Amino acid sequence: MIIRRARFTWTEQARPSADHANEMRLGVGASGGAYSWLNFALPFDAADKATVLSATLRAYVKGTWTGSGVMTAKRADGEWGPHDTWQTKPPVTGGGADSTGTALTDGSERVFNSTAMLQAVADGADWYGFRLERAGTPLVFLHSPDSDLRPTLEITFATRPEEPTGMSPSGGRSVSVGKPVLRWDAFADADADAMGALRVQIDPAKNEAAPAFDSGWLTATETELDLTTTAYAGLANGSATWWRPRNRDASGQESPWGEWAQFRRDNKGAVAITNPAAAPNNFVSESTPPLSAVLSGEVQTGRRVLIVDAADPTIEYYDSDRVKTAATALTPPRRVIDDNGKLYRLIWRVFDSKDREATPGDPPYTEAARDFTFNESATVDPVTNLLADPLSPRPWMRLTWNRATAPDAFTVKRDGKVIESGIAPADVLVAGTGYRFDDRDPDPNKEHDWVVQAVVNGVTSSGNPSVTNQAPVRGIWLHDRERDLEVFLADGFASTFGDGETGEWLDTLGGRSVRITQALRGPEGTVTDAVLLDVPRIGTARSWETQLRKMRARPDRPVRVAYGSESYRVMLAEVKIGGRPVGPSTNKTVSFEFRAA
Amino acid sequence: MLPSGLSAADVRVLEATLRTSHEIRASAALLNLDGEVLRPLTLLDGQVDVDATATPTRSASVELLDPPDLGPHRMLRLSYGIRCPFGWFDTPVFTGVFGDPERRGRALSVQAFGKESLVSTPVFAPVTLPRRMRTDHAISVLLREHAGETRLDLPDMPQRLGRDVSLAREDPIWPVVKRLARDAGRQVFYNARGWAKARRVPGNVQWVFRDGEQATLTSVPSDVIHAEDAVNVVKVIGGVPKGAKRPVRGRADAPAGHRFSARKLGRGDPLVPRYLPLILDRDNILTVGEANDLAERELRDGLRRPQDAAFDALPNPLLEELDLVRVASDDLMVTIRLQRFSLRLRPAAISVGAHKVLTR
Repeated sequence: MIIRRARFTWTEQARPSADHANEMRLGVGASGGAYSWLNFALPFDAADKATVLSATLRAYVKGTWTGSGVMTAKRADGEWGPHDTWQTKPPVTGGGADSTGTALTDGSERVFNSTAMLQAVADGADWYGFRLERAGTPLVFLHSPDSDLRPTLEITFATRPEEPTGMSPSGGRSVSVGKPVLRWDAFADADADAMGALRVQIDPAKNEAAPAFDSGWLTATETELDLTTTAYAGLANGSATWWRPRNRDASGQESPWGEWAQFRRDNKGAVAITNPAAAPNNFVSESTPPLSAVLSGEVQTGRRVLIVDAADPTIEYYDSDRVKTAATALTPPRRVIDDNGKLYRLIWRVFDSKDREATPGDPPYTEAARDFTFNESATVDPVTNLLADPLSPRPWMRLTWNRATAPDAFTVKRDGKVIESGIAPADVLVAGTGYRFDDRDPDPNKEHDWVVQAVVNGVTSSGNPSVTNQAPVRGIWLHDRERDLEVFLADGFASTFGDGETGEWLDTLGGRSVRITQALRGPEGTVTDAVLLDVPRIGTARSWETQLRKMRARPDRPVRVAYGSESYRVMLAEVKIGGRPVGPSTNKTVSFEFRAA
Repeated sequence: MLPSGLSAADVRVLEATLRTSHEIRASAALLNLDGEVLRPLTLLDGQVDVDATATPTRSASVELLDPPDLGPHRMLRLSYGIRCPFGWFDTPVFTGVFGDPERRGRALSVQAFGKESLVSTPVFAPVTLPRRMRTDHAISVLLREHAGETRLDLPDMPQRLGRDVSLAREDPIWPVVKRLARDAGRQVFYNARGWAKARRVPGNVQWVFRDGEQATLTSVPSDVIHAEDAVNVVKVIGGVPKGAKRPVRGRADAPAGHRFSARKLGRGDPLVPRYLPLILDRDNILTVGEANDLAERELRDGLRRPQDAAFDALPNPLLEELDLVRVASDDLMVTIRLQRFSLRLRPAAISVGAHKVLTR
């Protein structure tokens, strides 16, 4: 370990009250009439009971001089600070260490073997730093700790490793395997030694003298023992036992034993996913299928269900989070399963009534997974005569179609994604076999493909017709579908649109900047000076204002904003209505901020 | 540090991730008083404060969206996740009971307090723990049978009570639990998972806050000394061994050169040493060797106790109260026990040594 920072000053007999604080040089020599003082922060104190294996002080000549180059380092025996002078300097104690090297040319190195001095400090002597002196003339200088060729102190020392802590598993908690991976806090020796070996004892009665299992010393670099790699017989289901670890550092010093820690073995139950079925029937035929799984052998107290991309499981489509429930079925929300033929992975985690501890390879839950696809079926007749007509000037699209018999439900997809499912035929029936659905959320001024599917007995039709169209729009449309509110804002405004991010740059002392990101938000921005304008046969500026005020009154409700070629579900904020009248009319201007809902 | 459940290799990966740019997530869950997760909550913002000198040691300030009933029959768990190369790693950073909520529209601001709150009320039914009862059993009886606690993480504590321990109706349980654990040389606290955990205060450095290439420090650390917390001499009075007339004794003194030694703190001429003693009665210790070992161990901790540092750093959600950490910078190299720190549940530095109001 090399210590590069030190407090320092120098004192000279010729000017006994001179203050040399913070100079870029350290004076030494003048026939013993100038001393340099260096105090390094030591990596141990007397309480560490360290053995100093070596300690080397290095200093460097500043400038070129003549005379004897031999210098001596001694241990200061009193407090001093950068403003101390010859008159206030402390004494020294103990034997000194002469330097090697005699050259007095710029940059030449002086090396002092300080091992004995620092061992004395490790043994309890006071530490106030070094005093450097030189018997020869004239006054010469060394580089100070503020310069590039600063003095350094290199120390190698040994301490006994501390008792291991942080054992896992512990606390009497359960694991489900007979030979778990045992872990404890990472090895961190005060003397910076690497870990050399570990030893583990296991005994149900904490028998120290003759434990049921003693690993003996095993070469190791990590505080971890996988019991499957040992001769340990394994813990029987339903039994408990105690264990304790011990570390040894690379130099052979052994720590005390850690405390005995207890764990149990309780086998987990088995989770069987019942829907989707196993291959080859591992598919669902509707976008919100009733997924299910059962646990046997234990009592379910909670569960967590995930649906991920089977090809890239880091892509999560759904996460139920952990909930307390004994239920065995779950219906995922809409828009999770909607890609025909895509391979999804259902991950079903069940928590039981045991207090389980996670250990490597043995999580505290039981898990089952099944890959499945969403398949349409030719056994259900598709719809016919699908048409898409823009509802200009609104940015909406009206879909119409026919089906000879009413199915259980319709599903509407836009660009391959389900936008509405479980639509009761009666809700969209026009007359006879004709149906109608208004898509109020498409991106305007952009082509989309729509598909309407029929669902009968949980099976979705295949061979469904598709239709392509776009909804032209000008200005901005705000729309709250649930409350049937809409607002038109005319062109000629200023706006900023962009994606937001929740993150922070943290600048470390090492000069690195570290970015911590919490969320990549959706679109957000501002609109200023948009105008409330009459739209013939649709609405007046006054009606838009009334509806906008209703939106403003509920800042907690999301609205849809359609503008340019984008349509976003957003929260509105800072909605300001009024400002200046525009021209001779009484039309008002509107400004607002929005963020993705 | 809170055990992660990860393999050593994955722990290294996690630690490397924490030192570099990374992605985090924070979540909240509603628990019943037995610690079972009932449902997730929508967390808007939050902060966890840890103060090893306070009761409870952990508290949290959170803002929740549209939460359900958060009465005294429910608890809060906060988790902090880091996206690592092996996937998301989520760890609890707080489990405790709700304080008084304040609603602002759909958002609700509420403070929550560590589970010590549940065991700091009067025991009401008087309890007497008999002399010679094992410490782990005594703590278990108090917490399990008289406070309904089911989440206990107790090591083997064979030390036996030196005398009867009685709690009157108005006596709270937690101070007695802490005293029993302390007498057995253990720290007891409710950890982030909501378990009552007893442990020997770690002597290993758990985490290094450093500058330079692998820097995690984001502010220049300041050296803080609480000299009044120092212990420079420990005396252990043990039990009386069979056949002996006097109890065994052990003693450890700070080395004279130590900055907190009785000599260094002394004054006068001739010098009068200033002792900052810790005297421990341990009836269960029957050999001088054991007594001296305990005295040495307590002394080492007593000498570290006054040394503190204040700084900001890249967050590590696994840190626990009284963990031993090292600050290694150009300006300060010191090993300290984590007494106070604040962890924000948003991208922000961890604040060590003082509580900062980090939330909005």
